[in-house]
Amino acid sequence: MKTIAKIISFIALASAVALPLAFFADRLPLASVQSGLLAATILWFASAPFWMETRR
Amino acid sequence: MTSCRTEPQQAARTREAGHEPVNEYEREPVPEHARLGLKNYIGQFTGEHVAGTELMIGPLFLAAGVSAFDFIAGLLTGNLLAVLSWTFFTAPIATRARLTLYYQLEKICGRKLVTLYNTANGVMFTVLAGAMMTVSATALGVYFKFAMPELSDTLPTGIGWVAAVLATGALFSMVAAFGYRFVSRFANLAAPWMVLMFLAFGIIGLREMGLTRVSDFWNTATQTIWTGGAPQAGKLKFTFWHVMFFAWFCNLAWHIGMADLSVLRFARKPWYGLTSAAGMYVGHFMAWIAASLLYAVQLKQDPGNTAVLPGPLAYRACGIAGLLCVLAAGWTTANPTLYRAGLAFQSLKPGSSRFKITLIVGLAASVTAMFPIVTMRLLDFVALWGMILMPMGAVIFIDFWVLPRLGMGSNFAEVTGRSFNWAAGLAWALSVAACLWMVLSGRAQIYFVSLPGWFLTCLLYLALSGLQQRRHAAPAAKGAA
Repeated sequence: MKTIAKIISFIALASAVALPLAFFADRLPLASVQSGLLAATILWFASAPFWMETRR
Repeated sequence: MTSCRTEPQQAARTREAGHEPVNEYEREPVPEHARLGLKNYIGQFTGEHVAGTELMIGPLFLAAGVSAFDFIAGLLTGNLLAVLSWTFFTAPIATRARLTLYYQLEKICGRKLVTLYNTANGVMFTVLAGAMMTVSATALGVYFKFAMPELSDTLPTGIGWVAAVLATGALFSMVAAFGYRFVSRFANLAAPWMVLMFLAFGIIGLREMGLTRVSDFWNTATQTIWTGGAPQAGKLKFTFWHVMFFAWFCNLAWHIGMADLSVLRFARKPWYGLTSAAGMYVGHFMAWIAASLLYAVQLKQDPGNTAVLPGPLAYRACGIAGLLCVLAAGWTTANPTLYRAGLAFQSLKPGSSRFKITLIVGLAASVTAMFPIVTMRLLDFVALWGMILMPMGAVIFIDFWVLPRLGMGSNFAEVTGRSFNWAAGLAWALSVAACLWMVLSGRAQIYFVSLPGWFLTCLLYLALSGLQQRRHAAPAAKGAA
């Protein structure tokens, strides 16, 4: 479970960089990037609590 | 900026959050087994310096008409100086004494003077929390369409704005009073995502400004983005020196002002101060540039729209995810700031309810947040904060390194049992008064005045300590005879 959550989190973070880069390279319109970023945000907050140590 | 720390937050936080009692070594040096490694510091510095206020600070540089070279070179140099300040001013004392700022100051200055310092700190934290509420309230404006403040506004812009700020402030204050632990965990969870959202702001902003190839960056930066033209109405023109000094002194209270003694006392090695580079170059370089780009896009699309409103700026670039980033950045940084302001004021009356004090502080912060003058002049406020708290860092520096080498005693208040070291108090007050006089009389701008102010405090504290210790020694010698 932890491993799956980690993979999802990684995909979410990677998307947060890849989507704007795709917009920069004229591969994606801004509206699609914005929807993708929202999806990445949801994925991150849904998956990270399963594995991330947040108590500092 | 940062979500910062005051005294004696660590232990109080642990107790009030209902954790197991944990020894935070508030009144003793941190022992060997409790020391922390490099990774802790990289994470901590990075997380703390990507805050809601970055979204205000970045655009304000552009509003000040900064040029590309002045902006980027100024940030690179200023942040380097900040890192070196943490490494060579704060960390060496922190890893030798291994005491909190509070305890170190109490030993030097006495309990009453420390209380005065905490009051000043508390006021500053309250105003900063207000600025973070303002940042988050601008996200609400995107949906509710109320009139939001312009760059030159000083008073509330209408009932919609007041209601949004009050709602944000009430929510933040309740959470800070009730659920510090939850938001602190949420902040840690959000940190990696937030850093990448800032990066996304920057990449999208660059493309919106017409950049299509990385190799054209400098050309676009100088010709289209940071053109170095006239500043916006009512703003001071920024040069390399303004940017450099702002980047260096934006966390003056923490490094040269020594507030981070409390954090770095856990470091295994003094050179861990270098890890502040992670916070500086992610938060105060990348994030400021990204936020500045968002403002440049707005000015390109509508030159008449000079308002610096993080909500609309982020929404235009990243849609709802951008708005969530603004809300999260404001919330996660306002929360500990309110909490710490509450602790600072609570120290004035130990035993009083922190819950009630935090709510009162939250109310005060909400009132300041209604007036956009604070947020729209955030650069001035941050510089003022550093100027007011920096002298205590100079006092610690002289007391720790210089007084023993001149045959004088360190930790005067502890040694003599006094509750107010007037040499330190007078050095602080005179230094702040001199700095204020220089600023108000137009002799120096607020961004630069803290440097001479530091040297002045050192000289004053040295001279006054000499006088004080001689006066103290005379009756003692008489008594002994």
